[in-house]
Order: sequence, then C-alpha cells, then structure tokens
Amino acid sequence: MIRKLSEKPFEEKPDDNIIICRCEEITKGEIRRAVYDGMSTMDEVKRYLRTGMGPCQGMTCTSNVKSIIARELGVSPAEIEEPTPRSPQRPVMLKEFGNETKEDEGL
Amino acid sequence: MSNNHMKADVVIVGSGAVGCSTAFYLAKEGKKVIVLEKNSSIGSGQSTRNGGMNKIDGRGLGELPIAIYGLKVWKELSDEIGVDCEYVEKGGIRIGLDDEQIEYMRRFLPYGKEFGLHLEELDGDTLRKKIPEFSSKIKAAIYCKEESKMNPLKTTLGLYSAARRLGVTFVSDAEVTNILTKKGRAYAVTTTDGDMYEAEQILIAAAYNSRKILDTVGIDVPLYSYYEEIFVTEKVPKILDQMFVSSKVTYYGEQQENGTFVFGGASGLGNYPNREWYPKAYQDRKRLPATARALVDIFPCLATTKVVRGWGGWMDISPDDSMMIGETVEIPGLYIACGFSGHGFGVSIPTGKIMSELISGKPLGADISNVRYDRFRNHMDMFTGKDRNNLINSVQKK
Repeated sequence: MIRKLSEKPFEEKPDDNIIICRCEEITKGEIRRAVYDGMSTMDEVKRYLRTGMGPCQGMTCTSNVKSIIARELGVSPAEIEEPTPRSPQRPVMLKEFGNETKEDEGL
Repeated sequence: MSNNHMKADVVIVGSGAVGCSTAFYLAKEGKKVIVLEKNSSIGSGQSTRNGGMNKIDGRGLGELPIAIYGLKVWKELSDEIGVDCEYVEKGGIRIGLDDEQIEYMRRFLPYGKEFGLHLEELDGDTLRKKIPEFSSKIKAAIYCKEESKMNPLKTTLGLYSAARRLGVTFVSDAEVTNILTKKGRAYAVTTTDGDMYEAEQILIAAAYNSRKILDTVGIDVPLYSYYEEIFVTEKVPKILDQMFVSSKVTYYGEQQENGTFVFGGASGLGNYPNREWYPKAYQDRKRLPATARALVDIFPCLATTKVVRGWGGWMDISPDDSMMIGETVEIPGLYIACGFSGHGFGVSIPTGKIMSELISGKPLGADISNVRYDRFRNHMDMFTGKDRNNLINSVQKK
C-alpha cells in the first residue's frame, strides 16, 4: 500500500474531545490526527498513541478505534486488522506471575 | 492491476528506525526517497518492540564513536521531527550481584574512559543512597552519565510521519526479494508482487532479512536471528530516572515517562522458537514469569505491581554483537545497515544520519571504519594462509 499524503488540511470536528481509550485517555481527535499523520493500521495507531495499551488491553476501545480509523481512511471496518492479543489476558501481580512456572523449572 | 514501477534518488528497504531516519535526513537534503516495508505496518520489527534504551557502557568499541555522535543527534531529534520522543538523558546503571558479575562489568571501564565517557563504580550502599528502591542483593553498580532512555514507538513512527510530510514515499506490504544490477551497479529492487523500484542508490536496512536480500547479489552478511521477550507493567509512581541492565545484560529495563516499567530479558527458558515456524511472534509460558521474578528480585517494592502485557521480537545478531554498515565495495550504489544485535535502538537514529551522510557524499559524523559490513570476510590465501588482500597489495607494489 502506498502511503499517500492527504491534499486537504486537517479538519477539526466538534466531537473530537470525546475520550475513546479510557485507560490511556486518548481522544477521538488524537486518533483522527494520527491517521492524518500517516498511521494507517491499528498497530501503528496503537504504537503511536498507546490506544489499547492500558490495563484493559483494548477490551473496551478496540472496536471504536477501529471504526474511527476505517472512517478516516474511507474503508470498511472489516478491512482493518486488529492488533495481536498479548498475554497475560488480565493484569497479574508480578509476584504471582513469577510463580507461574516455578514447578516446571524445579524451583 | 498493473505493477508498480517507481523511480527515486534513493530506495530504502526496511522501515525501522534506521530506514525511517535515513529517509528523513535524506529528504531534508532534498532527495527523493522511497521506503519499502515487508509488513502491513511501518516499523513493526525490533524498532517498536525494544525497551527504548541507549546503553553505551559495554558496547562494542567499533560502535562507540556512533553512540557518542548520537548524544547530539538524539537531543535535537524531538524538535526536528515535531514529535516528543521522550528522550531523557539521566544516565544508566549496570548492576552486579556477585563477584563474577562485578569482575565482568569492570572490563569496560578503561575503554569507556578512553572514549571520554563518565563512568563511576558505586558500591551497593552508595547506589541505594541514590535510588533506595534497589534491592540489597545488588553488591555493586557501574553508573554511566551519558546513557539515556526514549520512547521507541513514538520515535520510529514520528520519524515516519515527519519523513512522509517531507515527501518520502512509504510503501507497506512490499517484500523485496531481489536486487538488480546493471554493469555492476545496483539500480533497482523487485518485490514478491512483481513491483520494481529504481534508484541510483539503494540501502538495505531490513535486519535479519537483509541477509536473504543481499544474497541475491552475492554479498553475505553473517547474521543469525535471536528471540527475546519483554513485558510492561501498570503505571507506578516515579522511582527511577535511569535505565538499568544486569552485568551480562541477561535482563534490562527502565521506567517510561508515563510511569510504566518496561522489563525484558533472555531467561534461557522455554523452547527456542524457529523463525520459519513463528514468523510473527512466539510466546513461551516459561519466559515471562522468569523475567518477572528477576524484576521483583531487583525492585522488591514492585512485587504487587501488575504485569499488563508481554510481547516478543526477533533480533539480528552479528558475530561480534556490533552493527554492520557501509557502502558495498562489490556493488557500487548499494548500501547496508543491519546486524544491530539487540542493542541497536540507541544508535539507530545516529546510524540513520550517518547513512544519509554517506549516501549524499557528505563528511561523516562519526568514524564507521570498525563496524564495516565486510569485516568478517575471510581473505586468507589458500597457499600461504596469509591475508590475501595484503598479498595482492604487495604483489602490485612490485
């Protein structure tokens, strides 16, 4: 995919200050701006803005972020690939996480 | 659909930190640049998967001039690209838990001082006076004033965004397979889709994949691939401004500007993942818990802090753990920058700047003669066992 520059200047919208990613407090306007700046996949937006990188790991905002990116790019949300889910599924305390495989290691 | 056939002054293969920064600095000089990325996302390899640290103490001596040049490059970067890279230069700490580790980390001291670095050995108690959260298990530490940390995600994608604004063409989902030559000069690359990108100068900065691509013109860069995992915690109050690594870099970490701890390492546990089988990522259930144990050992106060996310990434390792860069002797117009060996992010942007200087024929910001891509080549003469190049030179002199 050739990453084309938009010919029009960035256009602000009245609902741009709605918070979309609640963990990282990222607004709709910031996501739209990131897409305007060239971020064209969910991974790129995630890495650039930290959407979906907080404690809930995008369980709340993924579909909303996806819709916004799709609308900005003028494609169907079905064409936007979601970021890879990462372990652990829910946040775990370090001391408990460290016990996870102790038995396998003979500790 | 017809195939792409585009022309530019420079084609860069790989959109990581090196590819994006080279493109950015070249575009600032007014060059027309095309950057090709194999994946659908820009910079989705090591550049956005690392811990975001610039470790200078313990680097290979060939890389040191570039790391020192980098101190200037990093300071200017955020303003240059208009994105806050969260660059914080407040030093770094290498920690030793026993005598063997302390002995190992002392090896660098005389070299570092020769290069003008400010290194200081601290005993455990002095270290804990500075940062009381460090565990009492730490016997000694080496503090390096010049070391720093940054946000690798914003740096890489910020450079992409800035380069794109300057007119650089980025193409994702473009996997380069071949380098084409004409009268011995590199003139184009082709992709799996049959697209062709022509340029007078071509830079291969595709990490481990560089080897496969360069193989098509008979240049071998000895790289192997290594997998490491890393995790990030929830936000905690600021306790650490410095980055830290263990004596032999078996684990490393830093607290990001937003309060999260990034902590990674090679635990040596779990199956070794085969790159062909797991091209994207491979998480073994044993590795991250072992790394979590190491972090609690170093910072006991973090025992109840939560792990939020773990991820992994492939690194390209060279035989001496130093980068392999330069213009090739064999194919004029072909440039290489790879082999960053898992500690490359700190030097990636300065290397990009140096590559742009090399490509546009300007004086280089740092000496790169000890990190040349061909330094591992065997020049042995088959009859005498002596260096073949010296032999040829001596024959020519006669």
